[in-house]
Amino acid sequence: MEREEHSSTAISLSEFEASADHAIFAAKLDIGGFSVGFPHCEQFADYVAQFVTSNRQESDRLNSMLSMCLNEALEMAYRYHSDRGALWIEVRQSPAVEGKDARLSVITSIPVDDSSIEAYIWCQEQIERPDASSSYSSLAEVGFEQVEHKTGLVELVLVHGIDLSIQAEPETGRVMIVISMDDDTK
Amino acid sequence: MQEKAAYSTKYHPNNHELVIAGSLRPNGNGELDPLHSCLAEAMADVQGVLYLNLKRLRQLNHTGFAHIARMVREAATSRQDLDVKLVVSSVTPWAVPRFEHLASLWPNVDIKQYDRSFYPGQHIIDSDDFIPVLRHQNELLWHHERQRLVAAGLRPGMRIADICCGIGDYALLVRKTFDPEMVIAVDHSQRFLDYANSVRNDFKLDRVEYRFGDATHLLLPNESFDFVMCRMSLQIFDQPEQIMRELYRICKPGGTVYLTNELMSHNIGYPHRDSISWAHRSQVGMAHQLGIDMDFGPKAAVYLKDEGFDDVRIEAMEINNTNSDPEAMARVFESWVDYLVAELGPATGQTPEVIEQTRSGLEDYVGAIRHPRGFASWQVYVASAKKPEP
Repeated sequence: MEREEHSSTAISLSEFEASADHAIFAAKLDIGGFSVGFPHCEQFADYVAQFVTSNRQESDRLNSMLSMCLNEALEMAYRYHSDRGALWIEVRQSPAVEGKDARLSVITSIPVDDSSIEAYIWCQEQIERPDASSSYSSLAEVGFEQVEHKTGLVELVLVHGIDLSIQAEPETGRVMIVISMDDDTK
Repeated sequence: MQEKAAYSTKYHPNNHELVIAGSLRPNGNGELDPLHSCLAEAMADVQGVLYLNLKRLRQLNHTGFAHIARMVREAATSRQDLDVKLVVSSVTPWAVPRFEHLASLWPNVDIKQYDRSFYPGQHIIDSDDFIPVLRHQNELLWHHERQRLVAAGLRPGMRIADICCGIGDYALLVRKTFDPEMVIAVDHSQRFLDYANSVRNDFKLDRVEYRFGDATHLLLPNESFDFVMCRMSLQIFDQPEQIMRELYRICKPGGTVYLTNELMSHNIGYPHRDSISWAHRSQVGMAHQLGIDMDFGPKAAVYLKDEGFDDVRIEAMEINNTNSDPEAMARVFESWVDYLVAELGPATGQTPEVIEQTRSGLEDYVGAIRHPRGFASWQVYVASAKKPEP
């Protein structure tokens, strides 16, 4: 696996700028600094959710859901990452177009190594397996013993019906988590 | 970086209730020791039913949820004689799906959404038909309250909470008139909030947020508002002291709480004085059956003092057909007549004769309001108080 330097990321700025989506929040953090403290996850999740949902209809509900989703993505990043690299957080707004509702997308791009990427691949497999729901219930029945730190993203999909994708790219040393939700609360 | 003590937990033996509140987002086991101690205490004490009260749990990460799942499993499987009831609020959108899933795993675990109808008269008030009643009422009251809000201490730049905001029009009037830093308006009626948001969007007003919430368990931070309003609402709840406690909690030290409530049995009118007085007392009696105290107005002072507020002030706000637009006032009570006939009377099991007599008295009242030589007064009490500074 190629190791990423601090200054390079799998998602380039030009890619972000070229997107039709409107970025309403973007942050690039040094993963070393971020992973110094677990409370960073909650602080960032709450701050971003508050920023994005301020002055909106149903702000509290959207805030609560956004904060929960981003917090789970950031807790994964806190626990499973490479030693060096940048953590990207971005929230995009896609306006409604013909036949499609407006969407909010929360993108978290995490630098990973051979070891840490395994957790994301495991999550991806859990979400995609044909018996995903019954498998999750079996985990819940034993209180998620041994896997509680990995099943947060799985819960978002299987319990809350969140539209979530995990793209693990060993060749670039990055994992991208994309969480998408209806944005009918402007 | 300081770790914050974000959640609290306590077992209440009298209620068989283990309460978990705040933000439970632990990284690992150590942070959860108090939770497990409380469960051990509960399990040693409880018989029959164990309530796991999660209604003020503001945030919960998956690690925290996993630990609660283990606690529930332990309670449900080690004590099959127990009924474990998970009590959640619909205000937190993630709570019901999570705990419904958990409840489906063991036969003796159940979920209860406590605020689906959390005050006895909610199903009556929470109706599209009630929107015109509130619109007419607020239009009339604003004329009288605007200066009283200033007298109570409302100033530009303040952070304002409007608790039990109903259809939200007062929050908009306050926003337009007083240029606050922000107005956060909370109500537990999704219908009313939908209406409020549509009006806000039509008016293109910012710095007003409407939030779905339970006034007895607000998810707003402690001491975060300069001015806390709760208008015409304490009279509707059967346990107003629970709301008063929350108003005190969210008010900044030195901040103001502002309340309005009716003294309906003292509404009078001429001509047909006796019929009008009887009808209002009859309405008060019907509402009482639903836990609604339409004579709460002057009692606000006692509740404010009991809660620890200083500088408690209370005054009658006389609204009558000579100091108000009589047509606007008549429309308010016409709405009440319709509402009474359609909702309140039948809901409280009144006989058709009583409903008819009450309706007739209220129509006399509307007639008195519009009568060129008539007089009709509506008794509303305004109370305000300061939260003491340390």
